[in-house]
Amino acid sequence: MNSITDLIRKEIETLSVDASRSNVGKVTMLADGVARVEGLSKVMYNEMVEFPNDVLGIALNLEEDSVGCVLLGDTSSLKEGDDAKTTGKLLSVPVGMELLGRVVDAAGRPIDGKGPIEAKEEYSVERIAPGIIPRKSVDQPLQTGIMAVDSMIPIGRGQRELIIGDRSTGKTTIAIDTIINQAKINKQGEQSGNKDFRPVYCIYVAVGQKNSNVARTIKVLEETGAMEYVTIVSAPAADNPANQYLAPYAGCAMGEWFMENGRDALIVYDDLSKHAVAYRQISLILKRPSGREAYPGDVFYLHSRLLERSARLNEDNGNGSLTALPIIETQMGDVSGYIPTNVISITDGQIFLETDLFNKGIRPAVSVGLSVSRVGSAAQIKAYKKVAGKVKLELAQFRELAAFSQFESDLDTATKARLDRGARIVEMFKQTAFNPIPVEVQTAIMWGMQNDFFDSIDVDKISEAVTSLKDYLSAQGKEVCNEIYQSGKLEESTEQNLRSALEDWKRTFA
Amino acid sequence: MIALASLTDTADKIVTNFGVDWPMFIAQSVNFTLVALAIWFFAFKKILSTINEREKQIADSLKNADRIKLELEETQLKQKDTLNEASLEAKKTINKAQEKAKSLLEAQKEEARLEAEAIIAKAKSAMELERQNVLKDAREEIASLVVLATSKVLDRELNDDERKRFTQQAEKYVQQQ
Amino acid sequence: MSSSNKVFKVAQVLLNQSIGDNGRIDSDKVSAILSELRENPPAKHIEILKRFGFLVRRHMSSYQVSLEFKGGDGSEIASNLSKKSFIDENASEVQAVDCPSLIAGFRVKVGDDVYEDSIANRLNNVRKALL
Repeated sequence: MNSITDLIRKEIETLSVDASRSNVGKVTMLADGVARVEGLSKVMYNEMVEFPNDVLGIALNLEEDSVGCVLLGDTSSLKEGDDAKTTGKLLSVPVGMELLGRVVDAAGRPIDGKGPIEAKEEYSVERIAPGIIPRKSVDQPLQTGIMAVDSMIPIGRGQRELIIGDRSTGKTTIAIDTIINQAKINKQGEQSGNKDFRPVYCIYVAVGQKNSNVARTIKVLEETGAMEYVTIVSAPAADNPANQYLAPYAGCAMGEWFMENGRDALIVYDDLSKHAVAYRQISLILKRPSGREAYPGDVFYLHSRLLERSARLNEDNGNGSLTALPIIETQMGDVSGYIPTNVISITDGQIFLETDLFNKGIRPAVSVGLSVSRVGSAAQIKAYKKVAGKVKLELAQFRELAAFSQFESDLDTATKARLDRGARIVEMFKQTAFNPIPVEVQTAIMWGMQNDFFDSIDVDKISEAVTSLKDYLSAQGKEVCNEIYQSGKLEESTEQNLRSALEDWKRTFA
Repeated sequence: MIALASLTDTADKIVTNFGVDWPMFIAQSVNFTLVALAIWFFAFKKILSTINEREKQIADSLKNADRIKLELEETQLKQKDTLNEASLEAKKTINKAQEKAKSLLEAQKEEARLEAEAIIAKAKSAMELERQNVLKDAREEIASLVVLATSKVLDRELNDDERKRFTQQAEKYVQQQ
Repeated sequence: MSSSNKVFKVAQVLLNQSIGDNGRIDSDKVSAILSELRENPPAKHIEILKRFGFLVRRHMSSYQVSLEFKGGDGSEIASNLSKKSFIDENASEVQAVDCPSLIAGFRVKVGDDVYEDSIANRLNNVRKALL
């Protein structure tokens, strides 16, 4: 108790109490998380407005006779006639390394019960994206650990890659696998003591998700040891739409801290469709004119200003990066919807997940034909580029020929070979959830496929074979994998070692 | 000539006494030769060749038998070697497995120890957090009470002059916006 | 949209008619306007009334100064503030009210701007700082 009174006494002594100056208004309407305030003549756009009982709002609609504010937090204590005061501040969130391992809400307040966040800096939620000069082209790989993605749709640090698909097609799983893989790589890099190693810190923004889903995600991240490199910003479906609207920007501000301090970060927005819906709700209540599908006219700007903040900065600006993985949910596979087309035109590529493939058992259900990465192989290590270069073409050819596979007995040898190879590649790409594969193991597996090691194995045993090879490479094949990891290239000696390792494995694989 | 004549006479006498009929004899000889030839060409040769063949076969079989015996011995030796090798390999594998099991056990023990430490650390930090929360709540309560008490006291204790002085002071520090 | 323009125009006309010679709202004129509206309500008269009320409030806030104080004399405080050009005593309608909840000091409101230097406010700031 003495410590408390000492603390208070010290604070009082250092307190400087000045007169207060503020611009005030009166609440004239209160509904659905939005307050209309008369007065506030000096309020500025996006300024934080203070209401009674420590409720905060943001001034979003500056009209001639009133100000429309979206309210953050519990609004049940407010009533018409209450006073509202400007604060002179924009909404800011705490940023820094202190946020790693924590779960926060859209205002950066901790909701995981692990105590306050002692952040040293605050960034405002709305910031201007980096201009053209500070940027650099994407050339560092971001390994997702998912073979289907890393080989054919490689993602680089600083890229925006959209994950799009219907409900329950594995969109969140791809994002979580990527996060888990970053944690694994971070741990490996830190243990290796390599000074040039750049860890990737992750931010997962859950917008409009069920609380149970968020809890499950947190559990998975904790079990895989990834949580220490992740910040979770949660604005679940039960939150008011203002929080759901702000959460992605808050998460982006946290990611920008890493980028501007020379570090690499990855941010996942799960998902932006619900974000657009929350913004639509706010806009309609603020009586803004609505357009197509009742979305307001600036719904493109809503996402473009968010995604443009993800970039790769050049050496003069710290050499940091912020990679974005926005997620969009389509209805019945319709990629030509309003929001999906908007976001597709903003991002640097998309990973398209199909329900048909998912139901056929091809998981991750990545549609190779519709998925693209506009960064391409600039974001792949040389070794991987060597083995994965032809895979997309081979799969495309397989898809073309698959229609004829019922006439297999009438086909020539070359076509049959293509079909067999294609079927094996499809099986090879099947992967269980939350099980990312390191890039060196992926390289070894694909090298094995390209060098006919899997040709003698039945197609329905390929998945088993890949798992067995993975286990073998993690145990006995560690040396050759390390070689690939360290050098990033496939030298002749490495290939020879790889060959003998695979031959050894094949002997043991019944 | 006399001897010869006597010999001839003797021969004649013998022949006469023993009954050699020269025409018959020659005829018989010819018959015999013909039969002998017939038998030689149609039967004897075949029989002889069969006998030769049989002899050859017997000789070959005997040779093979020797060879087979040798090969059998060699195979048995090889089998023994293979079994030896296999049992060596099995021993090696068992040793490896045993070592692996041992190291796995050690690893699991270490894991359990680390987990226990983590649980203890978690509990400690949870207690610390609880303490911080209690202190924070207490601090807020105390601060509110202090301010409330101060305002009540000031309201009661300040006289009009003192209030006036405060207001004048406040006016002094007013700055134009 | 044109109907709300009409409402705005009518309300503006009513406001102009409520302003007296001194540039301030004349309460007699306002009462006359209101009784006229009551007797002969025009189309959308509720919207017109709401808009009229807003315009009157806005006009009044441009010259009304609310001064709440405790300790000292209201008019003295007002003239001191006027000397510092904080408020214009001559152009404004200063309403000085004794407010015991301040304990000591004053709170002056000019339009939407509020300036407060009182013991109650300082204690409140202390409380906020200690939380």
